[in-house]
Amino acid sequence: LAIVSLPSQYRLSDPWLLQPLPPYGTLSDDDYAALGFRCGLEIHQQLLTVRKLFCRCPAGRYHHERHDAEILRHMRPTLSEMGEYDGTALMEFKTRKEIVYLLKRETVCTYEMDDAPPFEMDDVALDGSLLMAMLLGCNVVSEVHITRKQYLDGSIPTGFQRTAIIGTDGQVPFGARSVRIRQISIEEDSCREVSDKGHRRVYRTDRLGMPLIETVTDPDMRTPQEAMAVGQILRWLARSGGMVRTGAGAARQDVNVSVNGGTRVEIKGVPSLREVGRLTHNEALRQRSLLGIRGELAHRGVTVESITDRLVDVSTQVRGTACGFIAQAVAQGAMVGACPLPGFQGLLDVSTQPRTSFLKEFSDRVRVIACLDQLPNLVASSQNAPSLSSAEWERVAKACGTAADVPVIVVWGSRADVETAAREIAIRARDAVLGVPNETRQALDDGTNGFERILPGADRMYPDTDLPPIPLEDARVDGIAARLPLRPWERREKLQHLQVGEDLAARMCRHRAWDLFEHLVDRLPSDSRFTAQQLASLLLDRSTPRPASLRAAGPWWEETVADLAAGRVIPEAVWASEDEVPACVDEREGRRLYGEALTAARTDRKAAWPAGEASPEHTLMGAVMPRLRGRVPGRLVRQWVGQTLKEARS
Amino acid sequence: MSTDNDDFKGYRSPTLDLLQSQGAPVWSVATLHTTRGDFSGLMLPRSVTSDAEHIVLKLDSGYNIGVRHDKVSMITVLPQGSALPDPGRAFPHDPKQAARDAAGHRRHHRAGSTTARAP
Repeated sequence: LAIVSLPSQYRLSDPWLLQPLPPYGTLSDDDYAALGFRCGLEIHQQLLTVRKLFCRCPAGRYHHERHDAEILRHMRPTLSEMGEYDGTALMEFKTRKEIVYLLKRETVCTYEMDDAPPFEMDDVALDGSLLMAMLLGCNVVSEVHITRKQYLDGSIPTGFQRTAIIGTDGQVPFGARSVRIRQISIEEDSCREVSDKGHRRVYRTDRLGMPLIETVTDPDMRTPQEAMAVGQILRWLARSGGMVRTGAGAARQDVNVSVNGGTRVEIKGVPSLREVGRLTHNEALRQRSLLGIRGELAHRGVTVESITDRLVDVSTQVRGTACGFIAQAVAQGAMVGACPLPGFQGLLDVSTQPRTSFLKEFSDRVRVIACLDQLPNLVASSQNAPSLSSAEWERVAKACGTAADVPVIVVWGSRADVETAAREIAIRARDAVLGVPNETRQALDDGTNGFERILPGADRMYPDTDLPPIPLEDARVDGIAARLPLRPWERREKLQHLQVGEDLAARMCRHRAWDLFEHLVDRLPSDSRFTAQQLASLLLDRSTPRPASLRAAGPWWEETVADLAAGRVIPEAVWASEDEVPACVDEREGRRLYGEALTAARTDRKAAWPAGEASPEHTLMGAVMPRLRGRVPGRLVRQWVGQTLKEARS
Repeated sequence: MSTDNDDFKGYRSPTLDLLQSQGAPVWSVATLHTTRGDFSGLMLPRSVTSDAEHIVLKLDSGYNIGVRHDKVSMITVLPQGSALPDPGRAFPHDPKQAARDAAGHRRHHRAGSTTARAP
């Protein structure tokens, strides 16, 4: 309604901005193609090592209880090797955060705090990353150069992460085409955030320094569904190498999204692959809406130069307001500032994501950079929500010297924070003229995303001065290549060749029992009575604990499979109990045992039993199977039970 | 012996011989065709304390890698497109100015005048 009532020069002409956003699941592949949807993935996975990447602290040990010490740090940007500052680093510098680290003696040492130089890179981690690079079909580098990548959000106490490229330009098959792998790197994991309030952010340091691999794809996914599917393939591939940790927090993914005319936006902290579809869909909509807003601004003649850093102190104009959150802030001595945005009439209310308007783009910047994180942290005169009264808005507009229809954003807080907020509002408004800002955005629980920081680039990298490059000799690379496990799609082909059914093969090729299956299936004799299909079924559908790995089993599995192949035991016997696998009996002996079991069961029952029962076959099977399980095949017992019932009825 | 020639700064034989024969000086953008695949990036000087066996390449992502000389079959040097970097730039003492510079750089970047890869 507010849009319709605008003067004619501010009517929105782009139909996209006037229609409700299409919900997730309603767009076809052609719709995404029309948007120019493109998505790339960055999958982070912790490597399975005993120690951290550059020191001897244990990896994978977390603590939640009391800590032994706290350290306070402030972060400052440095120049890259190419003599440039990174925009993200400068943005973080503006937040003026106090970073507090919680240290526990058992999980952290002086290296992580940058009080001691690094040790050499952990060899197990390096070998694991090499194996992953080869699984992804990457070109492996000859010399690993450890690089410092600046992180000024405080998640790493040194202000940089040590990281290195292991391979580039790989690919994985995806349906009839391939998805390109841009690079695979090895890096240190960051701290775990405990809290982030105002100008103070607190981290735990136990996870810090654990080895991670990061796999980066090219933007080859054309729909949100493809992004999820490729993510799953990469996850299975990583697990197939047996070198990565599993469980909560061991694997994390970031997604990069762009549409035609938009720009690369990175969504960080995606909690699971299932969320990737909705998040990427909503980001594509956001970029399309921002491009629509850019078009409207261009149509109105709004330029980067015409938007000024304007802050008007309106504390006096809103004194005594009935608006609770502003009144409370004023009572605590806050300054109230107003930022007029001429030319933005009708645009702040445009939907950019579900339940989210363009105004939130301003609110997010103010929250993150000015650290005004008590929401709501701003109100707009055009907003259809209770805030200042009409009279107060009129006084604010008069103080700003603008017409009543010009949207004004009001923020409150300490003078320094309000000044930062006003600058950020102007920066975001200028970005709107340009279209979609390069940003790193945070995944939110409802499938939308919010501003996290400006997207970092190559300017945050510089060579590590503590560690020399590591040459990767042929012997090392060839040694790993020689013991490369089968990739999931190669496993599938092998299973197909072994005539394992499609459903079973789909499960087995990504199951942790694969190593066991592969080892045992290669040992089945040509005249085996026990097939690969039965072996796969046996390993996947077990109900009683048996050794899950070759190491735990010793010769047990090989002996048992030899008995199965020779027909000395039946598959049901393997899971029949936790005890020794019982030998099977021939049909005559089985029939005798069945007779005994039947007689024993009848003596405990009524004369009419079992024909009088509601489901006599089920009852009879239940009565005799305990004596026969694992010794006689279940299908034979079922036949005998059928005969017994037929005789009883006649 | 390393060369005093700035075109091949820090490189010694046998890597120096390869770079000279292929006409691939430092600060040129090149593709190295190797037995472990192709690698493209900016040719960087070699540290004098490092070995004489590897060429240093800065990838578009900002990461550096080393490529062993005897893995290289050919080097394709691309025509020089932009001004050489100035790693000696002074530390600006006004972070606000640096922030303004960075904002200006980002606008420039989005206008499509750089070669950064974007999905």
